[in-house]
Amino acid sequence: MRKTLVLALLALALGAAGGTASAQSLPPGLQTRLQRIETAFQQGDAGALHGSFATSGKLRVDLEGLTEGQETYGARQLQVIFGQIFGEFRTRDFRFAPEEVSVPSPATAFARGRWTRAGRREPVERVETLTFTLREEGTDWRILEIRSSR
Amino acid sequence: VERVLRPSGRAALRAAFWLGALGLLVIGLGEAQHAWARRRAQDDAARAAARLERVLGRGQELSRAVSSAAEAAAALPEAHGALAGDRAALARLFRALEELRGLLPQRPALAIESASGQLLAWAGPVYDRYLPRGEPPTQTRVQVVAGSVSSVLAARTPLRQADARLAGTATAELTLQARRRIHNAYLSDFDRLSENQPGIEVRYLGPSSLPARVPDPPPAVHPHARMASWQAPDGTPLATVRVLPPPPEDEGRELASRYRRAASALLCLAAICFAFAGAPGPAWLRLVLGSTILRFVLLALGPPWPGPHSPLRSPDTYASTLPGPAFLSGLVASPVDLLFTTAWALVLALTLLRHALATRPEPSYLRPLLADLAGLPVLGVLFSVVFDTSLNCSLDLETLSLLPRDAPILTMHLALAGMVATGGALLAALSAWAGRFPGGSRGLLLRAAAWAALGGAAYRFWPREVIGLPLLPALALFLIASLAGQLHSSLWRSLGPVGVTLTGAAAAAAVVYPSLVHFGEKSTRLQVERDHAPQILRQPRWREYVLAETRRRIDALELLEVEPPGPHPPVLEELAFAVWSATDLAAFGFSSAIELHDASGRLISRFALDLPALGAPAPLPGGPAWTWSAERLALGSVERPVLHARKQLVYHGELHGAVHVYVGDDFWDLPFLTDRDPYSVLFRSAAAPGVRSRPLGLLVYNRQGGLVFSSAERPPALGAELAARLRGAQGGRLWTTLVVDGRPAHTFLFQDASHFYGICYPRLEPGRFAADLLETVAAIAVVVLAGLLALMALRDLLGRSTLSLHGLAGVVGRRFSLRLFVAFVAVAVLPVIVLQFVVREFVTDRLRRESERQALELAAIARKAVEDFALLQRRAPDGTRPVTDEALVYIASLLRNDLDVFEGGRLLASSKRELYASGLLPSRVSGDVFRSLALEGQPTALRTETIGGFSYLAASVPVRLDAAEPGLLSMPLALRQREVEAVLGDLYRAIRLASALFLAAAALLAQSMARRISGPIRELTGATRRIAAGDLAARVKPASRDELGELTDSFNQMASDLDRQRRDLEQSNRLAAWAEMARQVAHEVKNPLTPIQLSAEHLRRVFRDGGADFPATLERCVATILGQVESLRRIVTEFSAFARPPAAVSEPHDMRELIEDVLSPYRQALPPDVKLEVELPAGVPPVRGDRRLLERAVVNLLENALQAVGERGAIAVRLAAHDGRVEVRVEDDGLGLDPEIRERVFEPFFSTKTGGSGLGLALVKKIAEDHGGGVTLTSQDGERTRALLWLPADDARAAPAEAARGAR
Repeated sequence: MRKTLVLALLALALGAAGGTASAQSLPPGLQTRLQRIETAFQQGDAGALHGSFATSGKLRVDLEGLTEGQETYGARQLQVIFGQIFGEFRTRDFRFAPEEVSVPSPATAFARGRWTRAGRREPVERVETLTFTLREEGTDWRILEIRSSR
Repeated sequence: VERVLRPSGRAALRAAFWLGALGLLVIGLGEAQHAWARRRAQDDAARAAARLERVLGRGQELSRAVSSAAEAAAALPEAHGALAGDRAALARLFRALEELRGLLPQRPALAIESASGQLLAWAGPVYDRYLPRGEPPTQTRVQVVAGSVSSVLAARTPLRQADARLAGTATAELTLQARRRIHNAYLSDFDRLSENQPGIEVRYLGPSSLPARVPDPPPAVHPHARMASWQAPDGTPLATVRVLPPPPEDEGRELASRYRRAASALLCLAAICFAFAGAPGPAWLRLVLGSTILRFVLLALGPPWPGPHSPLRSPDTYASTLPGPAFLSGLVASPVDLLFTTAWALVLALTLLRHALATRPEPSYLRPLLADLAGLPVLGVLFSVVFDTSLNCSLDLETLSLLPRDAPILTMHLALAGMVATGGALLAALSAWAGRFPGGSRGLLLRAAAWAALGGAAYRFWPREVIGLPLLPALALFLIASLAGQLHSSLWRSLGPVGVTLTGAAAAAAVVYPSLVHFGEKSTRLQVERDHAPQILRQPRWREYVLAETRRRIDALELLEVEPPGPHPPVLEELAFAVWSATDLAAFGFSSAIELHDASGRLISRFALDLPALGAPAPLPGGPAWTWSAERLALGSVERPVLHARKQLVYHGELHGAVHVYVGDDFWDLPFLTDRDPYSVLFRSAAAPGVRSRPLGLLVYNRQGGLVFSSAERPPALGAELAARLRGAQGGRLWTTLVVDGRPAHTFLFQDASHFYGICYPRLEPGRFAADLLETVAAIAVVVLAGLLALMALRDLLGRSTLSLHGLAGVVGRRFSLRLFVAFVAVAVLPVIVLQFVVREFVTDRLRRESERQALELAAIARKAVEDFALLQRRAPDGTRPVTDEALVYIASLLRNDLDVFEGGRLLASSKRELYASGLLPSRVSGDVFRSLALEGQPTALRTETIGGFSYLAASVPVRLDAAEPGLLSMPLALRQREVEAVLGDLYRAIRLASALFLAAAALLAQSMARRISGPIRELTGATRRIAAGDLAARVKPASRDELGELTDSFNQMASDLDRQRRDLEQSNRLAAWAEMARQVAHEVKNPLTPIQLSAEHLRRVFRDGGADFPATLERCVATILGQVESLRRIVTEFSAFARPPAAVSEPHDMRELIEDVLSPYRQALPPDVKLEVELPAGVPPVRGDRRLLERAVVNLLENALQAVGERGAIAVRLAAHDGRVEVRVEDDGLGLDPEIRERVFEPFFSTKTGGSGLGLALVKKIAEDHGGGVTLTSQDGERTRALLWLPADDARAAPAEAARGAR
C-alpha cells in the first residue's frame, strides 16, 4: 500500500514540470523532517540538526565560504561545524520553498532552503540557498547532502 | 618522567602560584581592553566615515601605482626603437618591460601599443578585452574597465617622439576585482578596494560595464551607511563606494584574543609547575590534578598555539562530540583538542598503571580471569573511539609520509597513537593488577589457553555491527599490553625509559595503522553501498532538478534586457561564464555549457565546461518559454549525451536574443569520481589536497554486458558468468574483485532495469600495506624521538643532569658498547643521507628532462597536425580562420594534451576555451615566450604558468599559419606534470622508506657488533668486580681465540690462583681461629670455675667445722655456685649462637614495623634521663631475611647505645632507604670510642665492658653480612657514636618503592 502511494507520488512528481511536488503531495515524514530542519536553523540548534542527519556513513556538505570545499563529514563532525556556524551567524529566517521540494524517486528528495543570516560581528545580512538531498530511512527522512546553491 | 622533570618543590609551587595569578590578571586586562574598545566604538557615523576614508585612500594609492607604472613604461628608451620597427629593439623592449614589472610593488601588467592601436610588447597577464580603447590620451589617464567577471584598473599614458608627435601609448593594468563565484584550493574571489571586508560595497564604473553584468544584490540597509565616489585624478568616476560602520563588538576583539592566548600560556605553565612540584601531597595526585587543570585551561581559553584559524583547530578537519554537558564536546572539537585530550587520558592511564605495577598480587586463578574479562570492554571502548575518530575526520588518515608535511594528519595520527597507548596502559594495568596463574610454567600455559578461549569467544560473540573491532590489531594490543604488564621490570631494565617510550609509541602506531585501514575499508564499503550507488541511480533526477533550478535562476537574471551596443564590447565574452557561475551548474560542477545569442541568432558569448565541441550554432528557439530535449553531441566518432534547454529572450514583446543551456547527460558529474581533466579543480568546489578520501572509479555496462561508460582507462569486461551471478545475487548486488587499469580492485556491482554498475577502488596490496605500516611506525617513532630529544635539550637548558643531552653524552661516554653503537650508526647515516640526496636529485632531474623532452616531441607532432589542418582550412571555401577550437579539441583528444594556438601573441584557438572565456587565463601568450620564439627565433620555450595557486609547465613552439603575424603553439603540461609529480612522490617515498629501513638494519647490525666486541670486556669487568667482592669462583668463558680470548684465559688463571691462595689462607686462619676460640672458651669457662671451687671448699669447711651459721653459708655458697653456673650457660649460649649458621627462614620484612617491635619494651624501661628519638618514615622498601636475626642485630646496636649513654643522654634510631638499600642508624651521645677500639669492636670477644662477652657487635656484623649487608661504626673519642646497619632492599619491590620515596 505504502509502495503504491510512493509510486503514485513519484508519478505525480515526475509529471510536474521539473519534477517538483507541491507541499500537499509530500510524504508526511518528509514534511515533518523539513519542518524540523527549518526549526533547527531558525533556532541555531546544531544538536537538533544532528538528529536530521543520515544515521550511517558520512554526509556530503559544501557550504560556500563556511566549509572548505565539497567534502564528506561524519555526523558528529557536522554537528560541531554547524555549532560554530550558528555561533558565528544569527539566522534571521530559514524556509524551504514548497515549489522547490522534489521527490523524484521513491527514497530520494531534493529541497532548496533560503537561509537569511547575519554575522554576529558583521553589519550585513546575506541570503544563501542551500540544496538538501534527503533519503528515506524507514518512515523517516534524513539528510544525505547539503550544498550551497546559486 | 615526573621524577626527572621535578624542579625543587616549593620553588615550583611558588612559580605555579605567580604564573596562575599573572594569567588571571592578563585575562582581566584583555576583557577590560575589549570593553574599553567597544565603548569607544559606539559612534556608528564616525566609524563609517573613517572606514570610507580608508577605502578611498586605498583607491588613490592604486591609481597612483598604475599611473606611475604606465609612465615608467612610456619612459623606456627601447620603446622608441620598437615603435620605429626595429626588431632587436622590440625584443629588448619585451625584456625591459618584464624587468620593470618585476620592480613594481603591485606588479601590474604592462603593454606598449602603437599609435594605430596595435599591441607591440607586453609583460604580465594582459587581457586584451580590458585594454582601454578609443583615442590615445594626451596625458596619463586612469580608468576602470568593468566586466562580468573582473574589473580592471588601467592607466594609459601617451608615448611621444622627440618632436612631440604621438608615437603610441603605454598601459598598465591591475585587476581590481574578480567575481567568479568559484572557491577552491586555487582560486578565490577578491576585491582590492574593499579587501573583502563585509559591509563595504563597491561598484566599479566603466564604459562597457552595463550590458554584460549579472545583477548585484540589493544594498544592505543601515542608517549610518556612507557613500562616496572614487575618482581618477582627472575627476573621472571609477567606482562608487558604500560602507556600513563596523560593529562595535569587533573592536579590540583581536587584541582580546591575543590576551586570552597569553593568559592560556601562563596558566598552562602554572599547571605544569604545579604538576611537577616536589610537594605537597602525593606526586601522582599532583600529576593528575595538574594535567586535569592544564586540559581544562586549554578548553576554556583555547591553546596558545596554534592560532584559531589554523587547520589544526578547524572542525572541517576533525571534530566530534561527547555525551554530557555541551562544553565537554570542546575536548574533541578539533585535531589539536583531540591530541590534548588524548595526552591527558594517557597521563591518567599511566598513573593508574604505575599504581597497578606497585601491587604484588599472589598467584591466583580468579584475578587474572577477571582482568581478562575486564579487558574486553576496554578494547571495545578504545576501538569505538578510534572508529568515531576516523568517521568524523575528513583527512586521508591512511596516508602518512615519513617526512610529514601535513600537520593535521600528523596530529591526528599522534592522537590516535595516544588513544591506543592509553588503552594499552589500561590493559597493562589490568594485567599487572591481576598477577599470574599459580604453578609457574604450567600456570603460564593455562593462562595462554584462557586467552585463546577468551579470544575465540570474543570472535564468536563480539557485536560487530555495534563495535566493528579490527580483530588482529585488537588481539595484538591485548597481548602486547598484557605481556608488558607482566614483564614490566625486565622491560624497564633492558630498554630503559627512552627505549620503553619509543617501543610503546612504535607499538601503538603499529596497532593504529591496521585499525585505520580496517575502519577505512569498512567506511568506504558503507559509503559505496549506501551513498554512492543510490547516488548513481538518482543522478538523472538530480541533473533534471538542477537544470530546472538553472532555468529558474536564468529567468531571474533577465539576461540581455539591455541590449549591448554594437559592435559587441570585448567584455561580453565573459557574460556566458558570469551566467554559468551564477547557476547551480557551477555550484555543482556539471559538465555544461551556456550560449548567448543576439536577436539575429549570432553567438555572442559562450562558456562550456567539459563540453567542448557543439558543432554548428543552434538555431533560435521557438519561443520565450523554456523547452528542453535530450540530444547527442558528436566529436568525431564520440558522441556525448546532453540535456539541452533553450528559450528566446523577449522583453516588452521585442526579441533581444536567446539562451541555450547544455548539461552533459553522463556520469562524469558524479562528485566522487576523480576527473582526469587537471583543470577541473579550477571550476569546481573541490576540497583541499590531502583531504580527499580514496579515489573511486565507475564502470557501467548495458544488460548485454557491453561497456557503456568507464572512468578507468582499461576497464574489465563483464563476463557472462559474473553477470549471471549478479542477476541472482541477493538484492541484485554483490562485492567482487575485478582487474581495473591492470590492478585488482574491490568492486561493488549493482543494477537497475537497464544497466549493470560497478563502483571500484584499488585493493590494498600486502606489500603496500607493509610499506605503509612501516612508514607510519617510523614516522611516529621519529616524532616521539624528536620530542624526547627536545625534552632533553630543555632539561639541559634547565641545568638538569638526568634525562638530558649532557647526561646522554655522559652515558655514551661511559659505555664502550654505546660508543661503538653510536659510531657505527653515524658511519651509516652519512652515506645514506648523501646517497638519498644524490639519487633523488639525479632521478628527479632525469625524469623532468625526459618529461620535457617528451613534451617537446609532442609539441612537434601537434605543430605538424595544426599546420596540416591550417593548410586544409585555407583550401576550404569558407576557411576564414586557420585553426578552430573544434580542431584543437580533436587533436588534443588524440594527443591526450590540451593545445592553444596564438597568432601575433593573441589567442586564436584553444582546446580549453573555458580557461580563457572565464578570464582565468589572459588571451595573450606570455611576453617572454613571444619574444624568445617570435623575435629571437628560439625553437622551443618552456615556462611555468600560474592560474591563482595552480601552476603548471607549458611548452611552446612556433607554428606556420601563413598569416601576417607569427603563430605560436602552446601545450600546457598540467596533466603530464601531475603524473610526473605522482611518480616523483612515490619515488621520494620509496627512497625515504628504503633509507629508514637501511638505517634500522644498520642500527641492529651496529648493536650486534657492539655487543660482540664489548661483551667479553663487559664480562671481564663483571667478573673482576665479583672477585673484588670476594667471589673467587668467578670465571669468564672465552668467546674467541683472539687477544680478548688470551686476556680471558689470563684472567681465569689469575682467579684460580687467587682462589687457591685464599683457601690456603682460610685453612690457616681457621686453625688460628680454633686456637683462639679454645683459648677464649678456656678463659671464659675458667673464670666462673674459681668462685664455684671456692664456694664448694668454703661450704665443706664450714660443714666440717660444724659452724652454727651453716644454713646461711649454704644458702650463700649455693647461690654463688648457681650464679656462676648460669654465667657459664650464658657464655656457652653466646658461643653457640655465634657459631650457629644463619637461619634459613627468609621473608620480606617491613623494617619500620620490625624496629617498632624492638623498641616497644625499651620505651617503658628507659632511665628517666635517657631520651629516645625515633624516625621511621613510610615507604621504605622491605628487607628479605630472618626476622629473629634482624631483631637481634637491632637489639645489640640499641643495647650498645644504651650502655654508652648510661643513665643520661640521647639515643636516635633512624630508618632510611638509599640506592637500593635500607639503612638503620643508631646514634648515641655517649663518650664515643677512640680509633684503636673502634677498629676492633667487630672482633669476636672484644669488649670494653666488664660484663660483656665481646660478641654483640660481632654478631651484628655477621647477621648483616649473612643478609648481604654490612655495618659500620663512626665515632671519635668524646663525641657521638653512629652505628649504621645497612641491608639490601628486597629486589622485586625496590623499584616502585624507590619511586614512591623519590616522589616524596
